[in-house]
This record gives sequence, structure tokens and C-alpha cells, in this order.
Amino acid sequence: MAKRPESQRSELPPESSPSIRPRALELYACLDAFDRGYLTEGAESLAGVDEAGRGALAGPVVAAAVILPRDSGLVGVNDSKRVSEAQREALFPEIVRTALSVGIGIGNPRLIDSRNILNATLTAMARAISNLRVLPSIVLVDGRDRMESRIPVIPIVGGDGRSLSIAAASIVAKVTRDRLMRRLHARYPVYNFLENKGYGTREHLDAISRHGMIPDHRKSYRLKTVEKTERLF
Amino acid sequence: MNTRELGGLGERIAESFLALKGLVVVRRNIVYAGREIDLLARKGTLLVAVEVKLRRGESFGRAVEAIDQRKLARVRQALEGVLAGMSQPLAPRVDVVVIDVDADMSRMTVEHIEAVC
Repeated sequence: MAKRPESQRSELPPESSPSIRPRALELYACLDAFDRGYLTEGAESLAGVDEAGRGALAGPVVAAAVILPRDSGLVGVNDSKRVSEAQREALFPEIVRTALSVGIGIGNPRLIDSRNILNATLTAMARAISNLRVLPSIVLVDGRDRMESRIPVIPIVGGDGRSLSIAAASIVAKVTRDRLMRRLHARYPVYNFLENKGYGTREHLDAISRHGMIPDHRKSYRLKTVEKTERLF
Repeated sequence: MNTRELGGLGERIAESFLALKGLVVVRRNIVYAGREIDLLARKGTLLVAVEVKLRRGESFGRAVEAIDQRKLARVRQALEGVLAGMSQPLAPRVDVVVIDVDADMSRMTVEHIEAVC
């Protein structure tokens, strides 16, 4: 940082090395302000909702609902896709500790196969909201779709990179799902869920054609892609 | 960090916040007939003049008190002037983005007040 000139107004505090990465703090302040824009006298608390695992071939779709207090101070929280796995793991307990309430909802592969992925995702989101201990006045959900809820739901496209509460929910959903996939990996190591998390990587598709599917595979989902890949080899 | 740098910082933060709300900054620091607009932003048919206030130091949480109604009236006049020179009919609005930073830069809040005048 540049030296301050002598003429610097004295009421400005002395320059100190910023204790937090300034950009992260700026992002936090912006994401937080986005949420506060939805709070009015009638709506004093909000929950952010997001999911993880919608596009995977195996494992559940996991939704999280998070209600944050005012001035949560959760610097570093951002869209789970823009945060490294190590950072997500570090932020997860911080979010859970800080949040007024966290709700998780799961849609297992059977539900996904019987109701299709969109409906299973919306069901998981509705379950996440009903698992909250405190009821929010409104719900901000990532995406375009609105799940069924007695509380007003506002869909926000790109919400995981715009709203602090949705960003926090995206991290909670992702970390929770990764943990479930790690457990699944312990049971079925041949698919390497530890790395691919159930998503359709080449290695995962290879393993399916070699070892077949397990009950945790979504039978209705992208089966054609799998068959096509099978024919390729 | 001097006053000018602080102002630049405030405008940068305000701009990233406005982007989250879908407001795209089209001009910065424009002067119209001696009246200044910090940020000029658009969203659809809306043209918003944004006054940015950044306060740093012991007065944390008090930047909102620094809003000057007379200043805002001048911003409004400048906005009307900008609009008069445009062929496209846009709806004008004046917003304030208030940013508070504490002395050691460890806390920061952003507040957006829409349609102040």
C-alpha cells in the first residue's frame, strides 16, 4: 500500500494490513446486502435454498435450507461451485454454527426414478424447508423453479452467486452430499464416487459398463448415454 | 488510502453489488452542468443515477447519516439532463448505495436505498 501523505486527514485511522482478504469481505457485504433487500417489516427472516447432485447419475439429490442471522459475518461464503472443496469443508461447520437454522432434504434415486429429477429436486427442497426449526417469512431459491410451500418462494436465477443465504445453502447441500457419496464409495469403490461424486465422468461410465448399476444409480436418468457409451467399447 | 481512493473503492463495491441486482453500470463519474453522478446504471427501461457513500473509520454503521438531500436533488437534476439528451425514453430513478467499513477493514456492510428522490 502507498504511504499516506502528510496532509492526510487525521480522522482517518492509520493504515493497517487488512485482517481479511478485502475482496472476500466486499463480496460478503454485497451478497449480504442482496438478501437484506428482501427483508421488509412484514418479512423479517428469509431462508436460502439450493440443491446439489441434480445432474449426477448416482446418489441422491440433496437440498439445504439456511436461515442466517443479521450480520452473520460469514466471509468467504460463495456459490459452492466457485469455492474449493477444502474451503467448503472449512465453511460448512462455520455456517452450521452461525445459522439460526439449517434444514436438509434428500431425494433418493428411487424417488428420482419415479417422479423425475425436477420433481425429486423440488421435493428435496420442500423437505429441507420443513426440516427448519424456525420458519422464515420468505424463501429465496436458486434457479427458476418454485417448490410447493406455504411460505412465499422467490426463485432467483444464479442465486447461489447473488444471495448470501442461497450461497450458504449451496455449500451445506454440496458438503452433505459429498459425505453421502463418500459413504457410498466405501460400499462400492469400483465407481470411484470419492472423485466423481456420482457424476457422469468417463471413468464412472466405464465402471457402469464393466460392473453394471447399483440401486443408487438413477435407472431412469441418462440411461441412453450409458448404453451409447457401452456400445462404443 | 486517501479520499479519492476511498471513493473509487466505494464505487467499485457499489458496482459489484448493483450487478447482483441486475443493474448494469453504463457510466461512471459523469458531470452534467456541474452536477455529478457517481454511477449511472441501467436495468431494462430503468435509468438509475446512483450516489455512492463510503464511510470508513469509527463511524461504522453511520454512513447512512451522511446522505444529503440537497446533494440528491442535484443528482436528480443531472439525471433529468442526461435523460433529456437521450432518444430512448427511460424511467429515471435515484438510488443511494451506502457502504460502511470499520477502521481495520474487518467489517463491511452495504446498503441499497432505492428511489430516494
